[in-house]
Amino acid sequence: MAGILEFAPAIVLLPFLSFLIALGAGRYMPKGGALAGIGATAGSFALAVATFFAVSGGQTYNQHIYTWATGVGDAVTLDFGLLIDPLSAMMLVIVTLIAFLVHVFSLGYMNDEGETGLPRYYAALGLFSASMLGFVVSSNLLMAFMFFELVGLCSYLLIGFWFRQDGPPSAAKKAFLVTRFGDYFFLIGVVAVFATFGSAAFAGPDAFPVLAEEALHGEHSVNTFLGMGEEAWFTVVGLLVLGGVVGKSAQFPLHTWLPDAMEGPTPVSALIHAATMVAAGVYLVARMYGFYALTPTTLAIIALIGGFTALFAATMGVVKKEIKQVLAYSTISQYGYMMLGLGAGGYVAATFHLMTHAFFKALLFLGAGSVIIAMHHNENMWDMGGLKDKMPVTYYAFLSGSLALAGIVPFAGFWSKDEVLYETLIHGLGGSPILLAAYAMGLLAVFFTGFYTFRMVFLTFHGEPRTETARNPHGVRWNVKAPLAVLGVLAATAGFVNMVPVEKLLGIKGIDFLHQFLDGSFSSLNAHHYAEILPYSSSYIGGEATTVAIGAGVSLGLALAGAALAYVLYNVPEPVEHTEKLGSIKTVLYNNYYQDEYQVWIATSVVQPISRVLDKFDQGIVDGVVNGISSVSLFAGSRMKRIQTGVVSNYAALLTLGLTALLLGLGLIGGWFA
Amino acid sequence: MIIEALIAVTFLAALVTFVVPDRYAGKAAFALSLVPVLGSLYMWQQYDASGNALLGGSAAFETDIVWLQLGQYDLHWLVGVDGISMPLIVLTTILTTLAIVSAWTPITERQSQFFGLMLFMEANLLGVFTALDFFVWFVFWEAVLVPMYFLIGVWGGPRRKYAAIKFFVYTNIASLVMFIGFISLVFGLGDSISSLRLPEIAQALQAGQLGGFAGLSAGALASVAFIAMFFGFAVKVPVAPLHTWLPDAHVEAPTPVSVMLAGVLLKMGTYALLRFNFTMLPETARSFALPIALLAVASVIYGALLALAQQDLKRIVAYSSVSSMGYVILGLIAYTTYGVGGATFQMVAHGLISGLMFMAVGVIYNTTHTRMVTDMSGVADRMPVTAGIFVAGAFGYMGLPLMAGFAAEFFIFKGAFESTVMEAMPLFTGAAMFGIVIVAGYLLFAMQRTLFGPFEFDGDYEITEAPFHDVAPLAVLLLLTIVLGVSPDIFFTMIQDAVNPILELGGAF
Repeated sequence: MAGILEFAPAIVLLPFLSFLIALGAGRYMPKGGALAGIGATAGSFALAVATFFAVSGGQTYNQHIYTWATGVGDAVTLDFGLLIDPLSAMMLVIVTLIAFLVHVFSLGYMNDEGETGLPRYYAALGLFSASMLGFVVSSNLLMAFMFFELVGLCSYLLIGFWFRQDGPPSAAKKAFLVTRFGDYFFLIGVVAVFATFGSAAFAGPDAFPVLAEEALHGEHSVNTFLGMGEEAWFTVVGLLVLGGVVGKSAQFPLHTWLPDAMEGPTPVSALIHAATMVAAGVYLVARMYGFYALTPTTLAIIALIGGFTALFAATMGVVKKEIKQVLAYSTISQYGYMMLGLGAGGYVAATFHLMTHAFFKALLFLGAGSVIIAMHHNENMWDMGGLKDKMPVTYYAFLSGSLALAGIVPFAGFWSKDEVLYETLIHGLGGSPILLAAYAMGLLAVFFTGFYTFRMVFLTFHGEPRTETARNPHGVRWNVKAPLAVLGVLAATAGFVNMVPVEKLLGIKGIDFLHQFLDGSFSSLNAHHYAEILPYSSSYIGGEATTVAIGAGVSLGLALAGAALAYVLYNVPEPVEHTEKLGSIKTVLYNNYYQDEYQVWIATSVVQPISRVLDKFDQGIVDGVVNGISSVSLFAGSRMKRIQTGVVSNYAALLTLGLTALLLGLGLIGGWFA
Repeated sequence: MIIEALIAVTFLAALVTFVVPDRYAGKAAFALSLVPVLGSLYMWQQYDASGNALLGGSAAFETDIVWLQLGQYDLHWLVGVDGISMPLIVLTTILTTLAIVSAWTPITERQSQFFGLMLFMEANLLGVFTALDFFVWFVFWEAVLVPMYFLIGVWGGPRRKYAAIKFFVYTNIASLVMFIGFISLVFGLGDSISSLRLPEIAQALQAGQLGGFAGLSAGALASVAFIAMFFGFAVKVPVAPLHTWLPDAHVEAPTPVSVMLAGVLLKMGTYALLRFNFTMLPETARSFALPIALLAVASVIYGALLALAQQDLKRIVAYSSVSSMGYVILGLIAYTTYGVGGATFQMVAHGLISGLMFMAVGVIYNTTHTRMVTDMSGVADRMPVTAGIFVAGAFGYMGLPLMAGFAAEFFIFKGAFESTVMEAMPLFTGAAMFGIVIVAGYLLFAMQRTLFGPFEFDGDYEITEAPFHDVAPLAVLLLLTIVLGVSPDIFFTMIQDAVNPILELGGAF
């Protein structure tokens, strides 16, 4: 395997090539350029797997590949580089696998459904895959920002794919604008990192997290600004970068774009708005975890945002009618768990949840896509029912994903969510009451997750068909079923790579494979190092094993309780909404806590009127002054014109008067009359 | 001699175009304009300057001959190119050629005069960016106004007379104030200079030769001259609140003229600010850091908010130019390599991208005969290629990475944030950066309403894809924007080389 990492750039370049092919020649190709994308992502996946094994074998790779802007004199040079370590290798496998499966699925969802504009679709999909992979392998913060923006562009293009309708362009605009608001802070953060450390590298001799650590120990001096001390300034910088994370990973309060983004084609939702692009924010925190781990305030804020978002989004998921809307709020909620894990010092736990979630959420979206094909593009769950007998492959795959999402043992989501909550609990008990508050919110969200997940499963697949379409669903082909089967297996089994509770309870050493894997990195980028610099200590209820058992038991119990409630209410032949029992809360939930309203209000009732007033001000006052000056001079000119009468005697009189005045003036100044 | 040849050949091209029959004028002007394009690319390829032409660096293609005498001063024909002017020369020639092609469709009368004036303007612009003697420079500087006046006043929209006169008078009065400011510096230098060559003046100022004049001490004179010159150039840039001639001029000007106005003419202002104010009087500039930074932030945010209020696509792009030029001012006052270098890079980047946007608006206007956002929707359905390039260009304007605008803005932000001219520069930088959110707001809104949604159009025109020669210049500009965004080093290293000597200047007063 020696040297396989030399081929790592090809992982990024292959999908870029498919973008160029689909853009330039897609319309002349069979399947509208889909085959180029499938081939490219398959190639990238193969290389990513090879890379993954090379990294498992202890290899790492941090290479400069392109000089973007050369600094002349004392100015720093801005580089592109490739950083392959366990974290990025794992992410490469996730992204390439799901990109490949989504390309295949698109054959069923887009091509078989007679869509037009397929070259545009596959070009954007290829560009997205390339940009996302470029982001994953970025060796520095600036390069990461650049690809972060490019995936945002692709997201815009794909959400707005059906641009001839009203909804998608509006949703695309909102998605870009809301994330741009977060990226504004991120970009200030990038600039601040350069200004502070003179480098934005994640690893290597001038890695900024390492420089920050040394600066806090007084071993290295850095520039701080606005009269702040090092730790305060690092907190500010960390929070600025976090702005981009909150926007991209759809965390409160910038989560509002994600449910709207469901206007895009469902395979796009699976790839971009569930498994990969939304993960970019969380991945970024993990990527520069050595920096965040240094500032307790930032960690606490990350944990609180995460815990709150997990709960907040889960409660909105319980009343939604459209299957994709449930999944969208679920996605927001699950990324909240990852943020909670990172904020609580659970680097491996959060990364683990990132992986399992990518599999089971991509699965659920593709499963929803299969259902939507069957339902002739009707997404309303109240029009479904009884689909499990008509589409068994979709049903069992979807069930596997749902069990994972709800966190039922032994499906993948159980292991990762449990570890996130466990890490939060022990670090909270170790003296961080904020973490305990975040833990409580995360735990409560487990109940809602179990409830909305199984409400969705029962309404869609169980009971009696409630419409004619549900009685005679449209069939789906292998290109839909195969990706579902692959992801269904992964959603059931991916958790086994990191069975920490089993290890702790039964004392079997060495089955925490992910922990070991993520430790095999550069010394400043491995889980061990992060554990050392984190400001947390651990404490247990009883012993370690007892705490593990209590934590897992409570969260499993809550998940089952939620599922059971859904079973009682909705697993009946003729389910009804039951939402009136919520009273006035129902309205609040239907309106998503009025989050959209206030953001739209800011845009249309604050910013727009201000701009209109300024426009009036500009044309009336600023330009008015300019025109006023010109009118004064025109008026003066017209008066002056009257002096020129054309009568010689008048001129003579003026001349004499002028000469007298001049002499008088000169005489006064020169002191002739003194 | 190549600079003289370049300018002469462009003048000659203008003369030839004036006498070509109208129906061939567009094609002839295009063919002739390729000569300066090739010339400028040849210069770029042969470029061998180092340092700053005003501060003892060696300029490329320099000619210095005594021309005539004016009192105690020798007037020189001094032209030369350094890392600041070279990119602008390439920008000027390429943009003129593309603007000429984009004029084929909309310009339907008196073509030979129109295209002749375009080339005449190009020749003078090349003079502005190459002249290193004040007298020569000032002649070219003023001469640019004349063709622009006629291009707006003759081929413009309904209020063309008002817009043309406003443009001419406003910028001309500004030039007068600037002239007074500069000449007072010359008098203040007294016998220490024997010519009006800019390098000689810059170096004399740097050597502390400025004396008092007209009752002012040297320091006060420097301040007064700085303010006068800043006002003069700021009108041209334009810096808010001196910008109100710009939207009127843009709205009335035909599209190809808007392209030249936004793409190159505005850069005369920032170029002159850099050459005169920020190179000759660095200490004075630093002492005015606070008001200048405030003006920069005001231009960025105020311009962007005004763009948000517009319904006319062309006014949107016009106001957004005010916003983008604000970034240049922010970069200049930073006095760091990335700040001043980024500002210079932004002159080129904005030239390409604003040209692209104006042209794209023009192509839509050629077909729909309206520029109002409210008059159309879903145009992408009928004009997919134009719409695609429009979207790409708009994202370029929003600062999408790997396009030239991002490189320029990032350089400026980085340079401004780490600037030492003021303690509070990070705050000013952060405030100005909010422009990247507002620009996304108005461009995304405009695109959503005009390009997307169900196709609706009330006019009597058949909306179909634009002809090849309308779309080709857009594609070329898009390509250049991407090339420069992927590889900013094409210009950025030579820019830094010319900018760095400015940063090393100490205080002379």
